[in-house]
Amino acid sequence: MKGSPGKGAGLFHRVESLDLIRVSKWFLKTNAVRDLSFSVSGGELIALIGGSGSGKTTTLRMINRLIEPDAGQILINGVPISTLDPIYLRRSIGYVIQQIGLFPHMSVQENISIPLKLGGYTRVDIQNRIDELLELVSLSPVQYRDRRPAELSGGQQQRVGLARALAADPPLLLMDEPFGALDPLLRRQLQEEFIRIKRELRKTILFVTHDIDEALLLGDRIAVLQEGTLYFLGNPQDLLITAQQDPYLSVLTGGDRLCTMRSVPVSMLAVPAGDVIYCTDLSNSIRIRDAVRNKEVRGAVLSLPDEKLRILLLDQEGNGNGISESPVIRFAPGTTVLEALSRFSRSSARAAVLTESDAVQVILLEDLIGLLSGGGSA
Amino acid sequence: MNLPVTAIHHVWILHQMTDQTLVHLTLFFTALLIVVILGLSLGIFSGISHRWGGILIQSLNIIEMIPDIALLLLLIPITGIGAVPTITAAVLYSLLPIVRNTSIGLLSVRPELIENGTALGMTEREILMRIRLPLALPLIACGMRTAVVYTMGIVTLGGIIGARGLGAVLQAGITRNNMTVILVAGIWIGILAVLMDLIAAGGERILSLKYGDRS
Repeated sequence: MKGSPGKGAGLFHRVESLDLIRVSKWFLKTNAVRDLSFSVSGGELIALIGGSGSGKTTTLRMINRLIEPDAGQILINGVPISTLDPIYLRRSIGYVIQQIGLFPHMSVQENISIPLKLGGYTRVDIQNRIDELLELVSLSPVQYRDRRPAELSGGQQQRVGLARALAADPPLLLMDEPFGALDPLLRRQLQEEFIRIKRELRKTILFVTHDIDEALLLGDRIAVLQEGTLYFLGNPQDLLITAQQDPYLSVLTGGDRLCTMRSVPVSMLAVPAGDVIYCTDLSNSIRIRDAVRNKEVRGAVLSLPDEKLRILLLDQEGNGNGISESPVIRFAPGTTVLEALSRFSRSSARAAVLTESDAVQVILLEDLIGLLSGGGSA
Repeated sequence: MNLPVTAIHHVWILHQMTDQTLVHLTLFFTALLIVVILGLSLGIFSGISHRWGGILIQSLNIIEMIPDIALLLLLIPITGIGAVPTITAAVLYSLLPIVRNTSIGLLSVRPELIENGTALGMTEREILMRIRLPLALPLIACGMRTAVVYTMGIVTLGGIIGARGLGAVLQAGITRNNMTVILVAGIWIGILAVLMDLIAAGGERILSLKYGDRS
C-alpha cells in the first residue's frame, strides 16, 4: 500500500487518539463552536451531523488548522496541534470537500501527485502510487491519468479528490460533505465504495454530513452538533433509540423510524460477538440449553448435519422450560432493514445470519422490532 | 489611395524606413520587456498585499488619466528628449493593464482551490507559484495584449520628442505636409501594430486553453 515517504512526510504515522478539549471559536460576535469536547479513537469514523451553522465545518477546519480555535485545545496522540508546524500537520491529514477543488490547470495525475511531491516520494514511487490510487477509487489509470478535471463528471472528480487526499497515506482523513453535490444514485454508489475503501485502509476519519442516512450508513459513531455544542455522541443504534425520547434528535432522524431506517444496512443490528454462541458439536446440547436459559448468552446457533441452521432462544412468552428452537434464514451482504423485515415476515425464523465481508453475524428479529418500534432494548 | 510602388519605394529609401523600423521595434521591445518584468512584479505584489496593492493601482490609474502626449512632454524636463522619455512614458502608460490584470488574476482564483492547496500542506509560496500564478496567466496575457497596443502607440508618439523610429518618419511627413510619407509610414505602423496584437492574441489564446479555469 505504501510508497517510501521521504523527509517531507507527515508528523505522525498512526492516529491513536484525537481529542478536542473545550474548543471554542467565535466569528465576529457569533459563537460558531462553543466549548466542544469529544474524543476519537484510532481507526474510527465519526460522522459529524447538524444543521447549517451548527459548527461542523468549523470543527473540521480547526483540526487541520485552516482556522485556529479561540479557546481550548486539540490533541493528536496527546500532542497539542498548536505546537506542531501547520504545514507538516496538514501533510499528515487528508482533506476532502464538497466543492472538490481539483486544480483545473493540472491533469488528474498531476493533481494526485502534489501530496506525493510534497512528501518527497521518488518519481518511480509517484507513478506507481498514482495508478494504485486510481484503481482504489475505481478509475482506470490508462483512461483517466492524463485527463483534465473539466473532462470528468462530478462523481469522477470526487473520486480523484479522494485519491488526492489519500495519496500520501495520511493516517487522519477529514471529509466535509464529500458526496453532498452528487445526485442521489451516484451518492449512494460512492458511499458504498467508500465503505470498502474505509475497510481496506482503516484510517481515522471525521466525516461532516447533513444527511442522516449517510451518517447512519458510514459512522461508527455519530456526533450531533447543535449551535456549536455537542448535543449527542454515540453509535447509530443509540442515536435512533435516544431519538425516541428526544424531540430534536427525532426531527433530525426524520421521526418515522421505518422511513428513516429503510435503507440502512441491517448489519448495524448484529449481535456482539459473545452474546451468541455457535455450536457445531451437538453432543453437549444440555450445557448449551442451560447457557441460554440462564441468560449467559442471548442465543445459540446450532449447525445441523444437513447444513441447516437453527437457533435456540429464550422463549419470551412461555414460562415453561423457556427455550424455543427456531429456523434461521440467511441474508446477503448489504441487506437493508426494509429487506430484512420483509424476509422475516415471510418466514417463521426469529433470527438470521448475515455474511458481511469476512465475518458471519447474527441478527435477531426481536432487535429489529425493538429498533423499529423504538421502545425496547436492542 | 493610388500609391504607385515606385513612390512607396522612393519614400522608404529616402526616409531610411528599414533602419527606422528596426529602431522602432527596438524601442518597442525594450519598453515591453521593462513593462512586463516591472508589471508582473508589481502585479504579484498587489495580489499579495491588499493595502499597498490598492494604493499602487490607484496611482497607476492617475497616470493613466494624463493624456499620452502630455505625459511625454512632462517627462522632457526630467529625462531630456529622445528614446529615454519615450520608453519611460510607454512603461508608465502600459503598467496599469498588466499590474491590474495580474492582481485580479491572483485574487480571483476560486477560494476552495487555495484552501485545498493549504490543506495539502503547500506553503504560501508554493500556492502562489503552482496554483495562483498559473491560473492567473490567461488574465495576465490579456493585460499584456493591451500593454502591447499602448506601447506601440507611445513609441510612435515618441517621434515628436526626438526619439527615432517610425514616429519620426510620420512626424517628418506631417511637418512637410507630405501626404505620401504620412500614408506610407502610417499604414506601415498600422500593419506592425496589428501584427503585434495578433501575436499577443495568439499567446493569450494558448494560455487560456492551457490554464483557463473552466469548471
